[in-house]
Amino acid sequence: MSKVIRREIPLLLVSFSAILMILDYFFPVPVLSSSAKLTNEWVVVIAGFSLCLGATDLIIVNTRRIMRKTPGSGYALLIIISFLLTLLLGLSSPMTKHPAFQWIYDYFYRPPAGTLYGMLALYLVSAGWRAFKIRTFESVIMLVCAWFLIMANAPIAAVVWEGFPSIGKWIMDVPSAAGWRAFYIGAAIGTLALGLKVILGLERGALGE
Amino acid sequence: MGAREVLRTLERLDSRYLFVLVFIVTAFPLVFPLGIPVKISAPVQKSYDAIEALAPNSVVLIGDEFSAPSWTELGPSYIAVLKHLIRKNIRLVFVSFFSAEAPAAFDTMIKPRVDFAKLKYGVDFVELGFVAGGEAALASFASDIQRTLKVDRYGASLSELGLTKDLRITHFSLVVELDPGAHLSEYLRQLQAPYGLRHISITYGVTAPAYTPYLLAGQLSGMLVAIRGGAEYELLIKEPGVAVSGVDGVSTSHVLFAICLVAGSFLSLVNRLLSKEGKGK
Amino acid sequence: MFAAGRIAQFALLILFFVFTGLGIWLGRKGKKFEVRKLAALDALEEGVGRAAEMGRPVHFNPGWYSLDSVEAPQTVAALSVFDRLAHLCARYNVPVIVTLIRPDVIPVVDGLLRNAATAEGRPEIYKAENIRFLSPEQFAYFGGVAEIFAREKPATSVLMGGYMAYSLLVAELGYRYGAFQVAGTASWHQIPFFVAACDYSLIGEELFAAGAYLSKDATLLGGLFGQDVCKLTCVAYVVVATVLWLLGSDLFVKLLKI
Repeated sequence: MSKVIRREIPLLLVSFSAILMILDYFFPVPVLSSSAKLTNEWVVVIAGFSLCLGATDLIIVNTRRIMRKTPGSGYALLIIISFLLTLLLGLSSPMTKHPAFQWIYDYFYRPPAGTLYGMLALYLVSAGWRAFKIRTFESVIMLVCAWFLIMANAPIAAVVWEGFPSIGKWIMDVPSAAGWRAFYIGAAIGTLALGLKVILGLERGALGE
Repeated sequence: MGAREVLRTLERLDSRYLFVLVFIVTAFPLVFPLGIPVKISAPVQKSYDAIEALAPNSVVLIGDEFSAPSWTELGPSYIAVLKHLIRKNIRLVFVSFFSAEAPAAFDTMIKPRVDFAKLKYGVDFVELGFVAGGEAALASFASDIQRTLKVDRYGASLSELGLTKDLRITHFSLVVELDPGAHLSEYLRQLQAPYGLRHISITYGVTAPAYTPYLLAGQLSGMLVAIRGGAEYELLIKEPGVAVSGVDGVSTSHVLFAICLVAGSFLSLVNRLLSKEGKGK
Repeated sequence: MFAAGRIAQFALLILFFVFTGLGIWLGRKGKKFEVRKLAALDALEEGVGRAAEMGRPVHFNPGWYSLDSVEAPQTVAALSVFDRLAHLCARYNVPVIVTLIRPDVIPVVDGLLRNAATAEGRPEIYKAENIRFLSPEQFAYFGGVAEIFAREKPATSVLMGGYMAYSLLVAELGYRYGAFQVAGTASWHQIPFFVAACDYSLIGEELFAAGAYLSKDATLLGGLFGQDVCKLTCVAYVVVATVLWLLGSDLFVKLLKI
């Protein structure tokens, strides 16, 4: 594919769309509003296609794995079978309400998803035991703040001492909120810088370069 | 085994002992409820008040970004808020922009637990399903609902459903956003900032500190955090359920975590001092 | 002409664009910008050396987001780090296993690994089967990674990019298998987990700075300088606004609402 099609046209499209959306936000001009609305609608359609792209990639990658008989290719076969079965059942009438589809969701997907998410609690405690080491004055402050925040979230702490929820709330509302505000401002500035690089065609990460 | 050896062994304790401890400490109150009183926090009270203040037949947008793994932390809050909204005869529009799984999760985990029987589909509530496109889809939805979505989740035309026929973003009195994917900023950017829509967020414990600035600035009208938020809301609507029964476990596991934090730090400090002392000798 | 209440926002936008553009322009003109030492990046060589001594592979994951998502810059920054890691692994003759959540990253990772192996004169380091797309579902991905860690026992694990809930699972998994861990993310909700569980971390914008630092790209470095000037401007504004507020004037607050 020529460089113009692969690189220049996508960059032009991105720059144009970015400038259009920015101008629409600041200047309530009918032609800008309608163009921006149309652009947003196209994004919705394209995003729908990209979901299919993800599914297609899944099939292609796992099929290759099966054909090359790489270690774990048995799992690749299982992935493809599960994917196709779930897709077909999900598309069966009534869509996503077929009893078999709901059965798969309830008994094959939900339990492991919930279980693995629940493991976070175990790993959190293990990381807390192991990783918090008092080495500097700042780490002592962090430990004290962490203690009060944890106790503020535990209903039993309020029964033991009313100071726990009050101090925990103060930490959340004052120093923690201040830190997060700074984080948001920094992130917003980073996003603006990225936006400028996108408009100027300097940001090519999305093209895989 | 000398004391130093014991301390070193404790510092390097196999995580699996801690896992067993967490299990015992969390499961114990489920079997033997402790009945620890739960104080209603300000963000949850504000959420309740925001819904209480809604007039009957108001329309509320539910940003249903729910998923299976988020059941434990967000499920009880979601159900309690829905029960409250239904009790107040509020009309509901369900839509997701970030979680393709949300409609399926709603069918299997939420609908069986909330009484939708007295509600008429198309008049009292509508499910718009998942709209691909993330924040761009949200922006498009906000600017023109009928242009973005021609049909609902079941293929019925929005122009034929009573609730969505002439629906505009400004008709929504409140947005209740479920937040497993940390997308509150997108909702605030596209719905709160340009259109002034009031927001309530049902969110994880890990994201709550980051949303405190929004709460303090008034951009967020209320917040329900994890299962504790669910328990508080269940108490407020006077329908104690899963969250209230599980919140004792929150207390015990949090206390265990706090102890582990301090004990682990203390052990590493003591062992470091003892080894320095040993080297000094 | 302007939408109501957005004049100040527009003015700030233009000002920040000017600062960032100036930084990029200066970078392209040859001005050298220094980024402070990032310990996590220096630790990459230590990690690869460790893997070489132990005769075990290095594991890498570029995060949750695909190259077409809003958070793609995190993935791009992660791939810059991977480029350096791949060169180090090739130099030290250490196999690198890349586990992926998004299939669209496969060709980029493949290209980077192949190029690094060729550039370092170690083409045998490149093995297509070491680039493993596991699953787009984060917990299913974790199951796959757990199996890889149990079987291959990597000596070093590098986790860079945007992350979701599975970050702590993978980091703790690495710890349990004794891996040396270097992580970096701008996903604010996962930063604490990496800081707690890994040996070295890049926090927030340090990940993007890593991309600039390693690639030495003038545009990226200049852009970073411009962003820092924008941040200093915000700090100055907030300080002046706070002082004025304490003195009884909300002028600077009202200015932002114009």
